[in-house]
Amino acid sequence: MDILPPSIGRRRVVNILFDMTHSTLRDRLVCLGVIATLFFGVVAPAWAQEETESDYKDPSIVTDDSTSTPDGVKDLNKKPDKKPIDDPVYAKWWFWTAAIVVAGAVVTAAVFPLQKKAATCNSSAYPLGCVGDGR
Amino acid sequence: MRLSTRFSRTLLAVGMLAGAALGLGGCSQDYALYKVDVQLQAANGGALTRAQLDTVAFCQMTITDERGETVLQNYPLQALPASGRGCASGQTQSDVGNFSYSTSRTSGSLTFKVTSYDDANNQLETGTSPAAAVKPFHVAADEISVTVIAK
Repeated sequence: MDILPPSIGRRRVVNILFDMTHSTLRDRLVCLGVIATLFFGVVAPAWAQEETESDYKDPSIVTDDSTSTPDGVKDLNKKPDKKPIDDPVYAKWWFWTAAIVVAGAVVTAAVFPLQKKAATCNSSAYPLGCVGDGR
Repeated sequence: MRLSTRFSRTLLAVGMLAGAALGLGGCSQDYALYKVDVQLQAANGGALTRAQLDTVAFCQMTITDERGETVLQNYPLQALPASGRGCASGQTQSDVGNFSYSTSRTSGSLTFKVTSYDDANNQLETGTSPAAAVKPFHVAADEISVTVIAK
């Protein structure tokens, strides 16, 4: 199929294509140069650095010598944080006052019994004496 | 005021009131008073001879409750000086005398047992009273009279 008009010679067309090819090749070389520069200037150093860090460890892998706990892993040995007691009762003045009063009452009741004495004993009415509780 | 603080104060107040109630209860404690009359008789119910009475060296009383548990054991019935009563060698009378016993019990009953012995600790006469119910003492009429006759 001949798509060119007859006025245009075949030789001329070849020259035009040759020129286009030359310009395209030059543009392609320029683009490849830019790409190569970016690759070796940015991507290549990162790749080289990854290769040099041979002791890198995946933090999600727990080994025997692991010193840290990965995120999302529950540490059973970790004690829960204690919530501080806000306004404790034992810090109140009336608590200790009441404790002292109660303790004093208990000691007093133990040392000095409050029980009423039994009826007094008339020795003349009871020659054998008076015995029992409250005496 | 926080709920816990209010609860603590309420609990403290209730405790102090309870203690005061117990103390007042101790102050108003009642006793039951027994007037125990002890007599010695012959086995046939007759009076002991002077010779028989002279063999009595001492007498002891043991009190038990309604469950048979000992309340007072081997209480010596020794007369007060110059009373002419009680058990003593050569001085014992048929009417040994009486004594007063008080108890803080509020229920149940007590039984009194008297035993006489000679100088060699041989048992001579013994007798037990009927069970006498505990009755709190308020007036003289509340005193519980018990007679123990040892034969």
